[in-house]
Amino acid sequence: MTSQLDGEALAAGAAREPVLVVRELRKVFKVKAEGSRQTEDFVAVDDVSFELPASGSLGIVGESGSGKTTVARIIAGLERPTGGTVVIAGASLQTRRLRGEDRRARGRRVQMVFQDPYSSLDPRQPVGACLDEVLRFHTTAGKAGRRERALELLHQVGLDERNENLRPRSLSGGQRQRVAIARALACDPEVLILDEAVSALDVSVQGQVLNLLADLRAQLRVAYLFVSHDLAVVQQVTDDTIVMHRGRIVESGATDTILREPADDYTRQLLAAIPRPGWKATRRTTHP
Amino acid sequence: MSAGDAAGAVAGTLLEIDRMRVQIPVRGRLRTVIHDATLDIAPGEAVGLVGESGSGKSMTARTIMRLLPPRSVTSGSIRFAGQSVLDMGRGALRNLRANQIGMIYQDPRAHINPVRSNGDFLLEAMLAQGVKAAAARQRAIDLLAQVGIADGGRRLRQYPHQLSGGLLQRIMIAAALATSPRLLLADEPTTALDVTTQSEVMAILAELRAGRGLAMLFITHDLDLAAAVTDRMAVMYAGMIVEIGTSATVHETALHPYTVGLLRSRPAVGTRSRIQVIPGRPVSAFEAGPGCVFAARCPYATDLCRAERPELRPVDQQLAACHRAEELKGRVSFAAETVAHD
Repeated sequence: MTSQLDGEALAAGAAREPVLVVRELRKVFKVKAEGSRQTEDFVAVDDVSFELPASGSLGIVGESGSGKTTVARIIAGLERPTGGTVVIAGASLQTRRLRGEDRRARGRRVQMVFQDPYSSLDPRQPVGACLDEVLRFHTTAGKAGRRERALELLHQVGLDERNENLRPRSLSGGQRQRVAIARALACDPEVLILDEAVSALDVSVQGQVLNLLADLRAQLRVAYLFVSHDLAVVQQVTDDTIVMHRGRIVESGATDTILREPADDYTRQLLAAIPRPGWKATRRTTHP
Repeated sequence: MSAGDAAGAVAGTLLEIDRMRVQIPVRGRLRTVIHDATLDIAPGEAVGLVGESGSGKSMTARTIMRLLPPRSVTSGSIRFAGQSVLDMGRGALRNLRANQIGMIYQDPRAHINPVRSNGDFLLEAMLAQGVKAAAARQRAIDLLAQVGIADGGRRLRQYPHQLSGGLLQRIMIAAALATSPRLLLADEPTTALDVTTQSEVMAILAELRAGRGLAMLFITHDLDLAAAVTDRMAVMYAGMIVEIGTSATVHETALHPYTVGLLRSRPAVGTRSRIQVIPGRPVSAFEAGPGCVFAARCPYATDLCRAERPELRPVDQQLAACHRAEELKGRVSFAAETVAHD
């Protein structure tokens, strides 16, 4: 199943430098041990390596506790890794804390859209001001230039001037997520991290946003790192996929191949658990 | 063919909802949340109630349990095992809630008291029934074994925060079954769970229901899941049931444009093509115009659709509330537009 977008992406693929290179990433959290006052190590991410080609789209699939969101948060700079490297457009993040201009530069390159548009937008901030704030921080544009850009962004995500002065509570869930996407795209990032970005939306609205994401990628050439538990949704927006289980990558490759011929047992379990008519729910033999 | 036969209803009903209409007070004014819902559930039958946010699916469950806010207005009738739920006094209502109908909610963490042990939660209903503590405890451990929790004794001493979401949901299922109800109201019981855990919880529910002849109203936004686990399903939109039929029929040959649109909105695993989308956003019952509740989003809406609300009526193998069901059969499609305003 090759859409037009895939064709173009493949043609460009040979010459494309990876925009994101993740090597041997590891994250250990200290957690309280059950029944004692001592802490023990919990390995959330264990030896994770992958590359995201420029204007490519990579899915990270897994269930809760698989480490997929931790990987995304490390790349966005919301979490520091215990070990390993993250290189974004040639600039290494290593493990140190970024400050000042370095931190700002990462913000220009990597942006994130979160799952719940009800909590990721400031309830007191009108849509226009929300976009303006990002533009003021990341660009040198003047007031008129910023407004023009804000309106352009709104149009790109299927909103318009009428939404500019509204606060989040006057918007539907789908509209809020469009604002969150516009905000993330405001400073022309090279990588857009979408962490369960359509999971909280109603089914009929989810389809609209998935189509929007496909269009934006074709139009803007931004690369997606798409984190989700939902294989059907991942198939819709990614070229390649890695499957994570308990902090490790258990399978990686082209999304279509993984869905058609899963090589790993855990991936097969995930696929078998997707409900469809005639589906029989089964009890798992092993427990996490 | 009567309407009941067309919907695939089994003879003898446990729950009978007839022209139920619900209004709840919002800032001092009554707001309609369910327009007119008619639905039957036979003993042992699993019926799906499918819809998006604001469709009234959860309100339907709350109305059946009479758990609506004060000063709500309900008309029509709800009969459980022949008794009118809306006319029940306090004693009968307590019996209905405690012994006849079990309820499972979406988020177990929000519905289980976090400062009391799992045992307190699980034993409460049985102790209230007058079961002795030791016997109730043993029964709780047996129930936990049935929902796949082997070390029940330890789990009863633990607190909700010590359990994963999947385990806690099984505790809630065990609690709902503790008093041997005849009907289970399951409101999105697996939405907060991982897919493999969902599969497990659904398997457990299927086993328990088969063993007890337990009927279930399964509320979900997931048409594919409902089609897989229920005998019949009803699709709700803006406070109206727009289509009912056997689950396989509704899934394979949906008649109402909304049902068709909902099915097309979900990408199918194994094929990648552009998604056909329903324009706009789901509306609530009070926002719907005088005509068909779906008219504002329906590409096939006519003046008649906007003016006159269609009744749920037999069409082919199912019931559909659409003026144009016959002529549109098999022809409904939605645009895969780039930008859809909602």
